[in-house]
Order: sequence, then C-alpha cells, then structure tokens
Amino acid sequence: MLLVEGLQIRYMLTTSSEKADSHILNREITIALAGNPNAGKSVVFNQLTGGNQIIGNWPGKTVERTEGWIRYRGRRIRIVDLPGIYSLSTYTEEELIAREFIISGTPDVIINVIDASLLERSLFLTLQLLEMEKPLVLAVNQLDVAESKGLKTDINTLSKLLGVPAIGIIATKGTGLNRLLTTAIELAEKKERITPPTYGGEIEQSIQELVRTLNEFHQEYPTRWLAIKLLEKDEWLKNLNLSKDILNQVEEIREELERTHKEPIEVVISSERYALASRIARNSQFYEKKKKTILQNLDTILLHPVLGYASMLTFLFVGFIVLFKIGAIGSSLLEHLFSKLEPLIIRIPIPETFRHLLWDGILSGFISGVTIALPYILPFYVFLSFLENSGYLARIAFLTDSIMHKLGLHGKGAIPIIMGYGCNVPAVLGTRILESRRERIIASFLSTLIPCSARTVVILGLVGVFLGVKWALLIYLLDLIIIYIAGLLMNRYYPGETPGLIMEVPDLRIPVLKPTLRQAWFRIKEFLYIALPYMMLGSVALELLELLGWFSSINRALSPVIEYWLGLPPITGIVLIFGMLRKELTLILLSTFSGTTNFSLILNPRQMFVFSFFVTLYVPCLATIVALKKELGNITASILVIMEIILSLLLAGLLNQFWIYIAR
Amino acid sequence: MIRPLSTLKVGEKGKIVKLIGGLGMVKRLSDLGFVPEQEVEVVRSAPRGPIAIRVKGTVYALSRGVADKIYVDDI
Repeated sequence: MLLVEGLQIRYMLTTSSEKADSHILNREITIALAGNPNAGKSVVFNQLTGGNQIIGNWPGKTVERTEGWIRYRGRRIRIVDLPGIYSLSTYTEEELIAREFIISGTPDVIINVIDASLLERSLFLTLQLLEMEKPLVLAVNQLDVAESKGLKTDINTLSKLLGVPAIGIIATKGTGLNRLLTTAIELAEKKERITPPTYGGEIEQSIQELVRTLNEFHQEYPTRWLAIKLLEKDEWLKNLNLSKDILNQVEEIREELERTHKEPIEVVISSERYALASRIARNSQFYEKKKKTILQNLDTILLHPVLGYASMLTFLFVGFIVLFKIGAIGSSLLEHLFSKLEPLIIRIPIPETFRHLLWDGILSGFISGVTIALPYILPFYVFLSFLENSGYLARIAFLTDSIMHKLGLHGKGAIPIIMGYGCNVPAVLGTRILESRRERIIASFLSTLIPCSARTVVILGLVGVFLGVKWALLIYLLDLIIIYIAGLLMNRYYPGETPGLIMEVPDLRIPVLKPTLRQAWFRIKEFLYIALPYMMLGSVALELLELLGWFSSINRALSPVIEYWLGLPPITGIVLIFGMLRKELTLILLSTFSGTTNFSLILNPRQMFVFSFFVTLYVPCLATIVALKKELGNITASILVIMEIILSLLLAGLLNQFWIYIAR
Repeated sequence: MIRPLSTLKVGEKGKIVKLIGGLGMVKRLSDLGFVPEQEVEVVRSAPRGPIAIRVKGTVYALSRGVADKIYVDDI
C-alpha cells in the first residue's frame, strides 16, 4: 500500500500539466512474463489479467502464445506470457521465441517469475535475462513452498545482489501481486538501463575485450550481450552479418578459453553463470532441515520400478472409467435438453426443405458437437490439467520412457497418446511438447489410432452390448498392439534419431483449482473452434446428399470394398463416409437408416466386430484431420490420412477373411 | 573412479567431470545445471529404463542413453 501511495505522489509530480497527463493516459506498456516451466508463471499471468486473454500461436510457430490486457490508472497494460524456458540459448523453439521477443525491443519491462524453492537454477535464467539489459523485476514465487522445504529467502539481499527490484509473492493466493505490478510499471516508465551481471576471471576479460571491439561497430543490440552470444557460438548471430575481423577475433578468444578450461565454450559459460547463480543463492537463502512431507515421500511408490507401473495403470484405468461415466450421464442430459428445442424450430414458418437443412443440418451438427465435446472432453481436460499441474504427467513420462523409445519417441510422447483417449484433436495439438518434427509426426499418427471417446461409444454400444464386454476389450487390446507395431515400423523406416529424454520432474503438488479449470476451459475453446464448424458443415452436406437422393448410388459405388472385402452390409457404405465427421455418428446413422436400435437384426457378430474395428481405425475424423493439417502441414497430414486408410482397410479386411475362414 | 552416471545406484552421489555427446545435448544439459564439478544424486533408476537425477534441488528424468554420456567421479 505504501508503495502504491509513493507511486501516486511521483506521478503527481511528473504529470503536473494536463498535456503530460493525457500522454500517460494513452500510453501502452508491454510487460513480458518470463520464467522456468512450473515456476508459476501462468498463475501470475491469470491473476494479473483475469479474464482478458487471447491464446493463439506465435507467428509461424506451433508454440502457444498467451496475451492479456489490463487497465491500470489510465494506462493500457499489455502482458505477454512467454513460453516457460530454462535458458535463453536457441536450443528449443520456446527459447528462440522468448529471446526474439525480448531482444526485439518490444517489452518495456520483464517480470521474471522464479520458484523460490529452486533459487539457484532459476537465477541461471535471470542472469541471462539481465544480460539483455532490459528493465527487470524479479517475482520470487512460491515462498510458502520454499518455507515448507526449510528454505528461508532474504529478498532484500537477493535484490541487492542482482541489482534489480525483487518482490516476494505467493501467486496462487494473490499475495504480493499488486506490488509486483506497480513496481513493474514504475520501472517501465523510468526507462533506466540496468547493469548486466559481471562474471569471473578469464570469461569476464574475454567479454570485455570483445565489447571493446564491438563498441566501435555499435550494433542495435547491447554489445555485452552480443559479445557473450558470440562466444557461445550462437546460431542466431549468423543473421547479423558481422565482419570477418570480428569473427576471427571471437574464434581466437574462444579457442584460448577452451584450451584453458578443457571444455566446450558453451559449458564453460554455463558453468560461469551457475557459479554466479550459486553464489547469489547461497548469500540470499538459508536452509534448515525439515521433515519430508507426505507428497515428497509419495515418489517412492509412484516412481518405483514395479509399484510405479501398477499405480499408473490403476490410476489411468479408474480415471478413464470415471470420465466415461461422467460423459455418458452428461451427454444424455444434454441430449434430453436439446430434444426439447426441436418442436420450437419445427414451428418456425419456413419451407420444409430449409427447415430440414436448418434443423437436421446446422443445428444437429452443432448439438452433436456440444453433446460430445462438453460432457466427455471437458471432464477429460480437467483430469488432464490436474495430471499436469500436480506433476503426475511428468512421472508418467518417466515410467513410459523405455517403451516409448521403441516407438521412436521418448517418455513425453506418452502424453499426447494418453490425451488421445479423450479426443484425438487435443492429442495432435499436444504433440507440440515434443522436440523434433519426426517425433511430432510419429506421435500424431499413433495418437490418431487411439480410440477416442466417440469411438468408445461405437465399440461399447455395438460390440460391448451385443457381443459382451470381453470382445470390446479385445478391440482395445488389438488397437494397442497395432499402435505398438506401427510405432516400431515408423521408428525403423522413418529416418532420424530419437532424442533422449531430458525432463524436469517437478515436485508433486496439489493443483490450485482455479488455474486448473481455466486451463481446461481454454483448451476446450480451442477444440470447439477447430471441430465445431466442421461438424456443422458436414452435417449440412449429409442433408444435402439425402435431399438429392444420392445415397443409394454412393452405396453401390462402395459395395466392392464394403461388401466383398469387409463383409459388411451395403448400407454401411454411406454410414462410414459420414462417420468421418464424427465417429459415433456411424452408430447413430446405422440406426436411422435401418430403423432399429437392435443391431443384431442387421449385423451378425462378425460384422459387428469388423465394423467397430474398422470404425476405430479407418480415418481420423474431420476435426482431427484439420488439427493434423494445422500442426504438420497439408502434405504430411494427407500422407498420414492415406496411410491410415490403407492400414485400416488392410487389417479389417484380413480380420473379416480370417473370421470367415475360421468359421467355415 | 570416473564412470558414466547411468552406472550409479539409487542414492549414490557423484561429481560431474565431463559431458560427451552432441553439442545441442551438452548445451541443454549444462543449461539445466549439469556442469563440471556439480554434485549429482541418483534418485530413481529403472532397470534399463530412464534415471532420475537430483541436481541443484531439481529432479530431472534422463533417458539411459543421455545418462551414459555424463561422466562422474566419486566425491
């Protein structure tokens, strides 16, 4: 409060004339939020911006971009949440994006959110941010967690040692955020250059030597930062077209340093930064031994070579069953609700044909979208956000690393695949967490083979009801085997290497409800934007075809494949075509066209099994195809879709022929 | 005795002496705190699977192949 008042006084002094006042009123300040993954950056962002946020992608990149706006005393404050990163090298796309955003000069001030319980590692990034000489305020988050671990942080000393303001906060409770914001704005308006950190010994000498040379050529970037990046052999510097003389000088200094340290220069500089980070951390944080909490001890079980897998399988299995039950209840409730709407539409005085298109086309497309999206996918997203924010997802990645390596992925690849059981769309979008394009392609392909909740409806509704649950489970099992073999083959024949897993395993924690729900909500919004328009379009197309009377000719055209190879009744042709819109539509259409929900009248057990099996594999639904296109581009998406069609036709046909052969 | 980090047992500690492997990986590991002279502790180790290492208070999961390329010495 004191600080806020202090600010007010200062503004009264600086804004004494009306002209200056209107200047402040129109001013926009950009704040960049930077920090390690799991430091609580998103929570700070949500607390600061409330509901005003836009989530999109960074231009030309598949990395999520989150921005928000607030008004603060007449100023418009734009807050950009940079991707969570450990360093500012150009190793990952996230790091590249964060760096380009900061150095391009856009942010007026950086808020660096750090986890007080991991001070030394967090300061490694802080030092790199300071090297860029932008105004910076340190938000020392999770003070409560640090205390519970026995770590006492002296924020004043920390601030002094770094030469920038530091504010202690507990983001989840909103503590200290007001002060953080006012300090950041104050810094942004002062526009003072900050003093970058000084390193030790030969490194510092080398930097200064280079700075002297660079100063003569005065670049648009801070010369000290440029000097360090030159020493680090940063790829990005190639864009700068530096003179040969400078590059030769850099090369000489670099060789000299590598000779004395007997390490690659990158390691030498990282060590130097860590040495400084460590010194600062030691002087500003004190440790008293505390007893481990239950959550800390839980890892003994969760990462255990045997119990770990047992608990993971149990947890996921129970989780999925509960989610499916919630989904089924919610779905029937919503359907009931929407069925009340129909009479209202029918009463609208418009020509029959249009009413048909309006109700059966656009609206039923929308309704099916909503009835599947909300009840099944929303709880799934909440579950997923919970897994993620609690830190359990990282444990799953750890446990599955070995098996994923066989499929050309590492442990993190298990995450989109698990997401696929809810819906393939977020699964494909979720492959962004993987490092290489090769991994993203493999993971996308494998996750589109996962039976999502829509396919689960078909498998359980047809095979589960008429043949028994065991047969339904057999389809899941066959599917897993197919995915495993497909992964093995892709890994073998798709050139490239599988990078090793290098992943932080954050401490387990109980997720805070609000940010978890908010995260789930933003994800479902993304799904709705991609999937819903296509569902509505597809459903209109279906109505049009029916009006035109093209159904029987389509069925005839498809009959060689449908009847002879797959052994299914001809009516399933059109059903399967429109199943591309949404897989559970196949079951709904089948009953519409045959006029019965007793499927045993139109399909024999073999046909039921083959039909469900084929529906599971045959082609990703339209929304998933759109997601594939968005993530991997048109060509790759098309190849994957064609591969899947061939694979499913081959396997389902063989299954059918095999079954007939056995039954003979 | 200098040996790969992957050969340490759960609970054992070591001091990093050398990182080998591609520059990208070495850079990434050193950014995370896997730098020479740094003390590390094996927290979990699945047979032939990944291994979990504590460095500067943070636990990292490393594929076995990655841990093979980090050489440590006794403290």
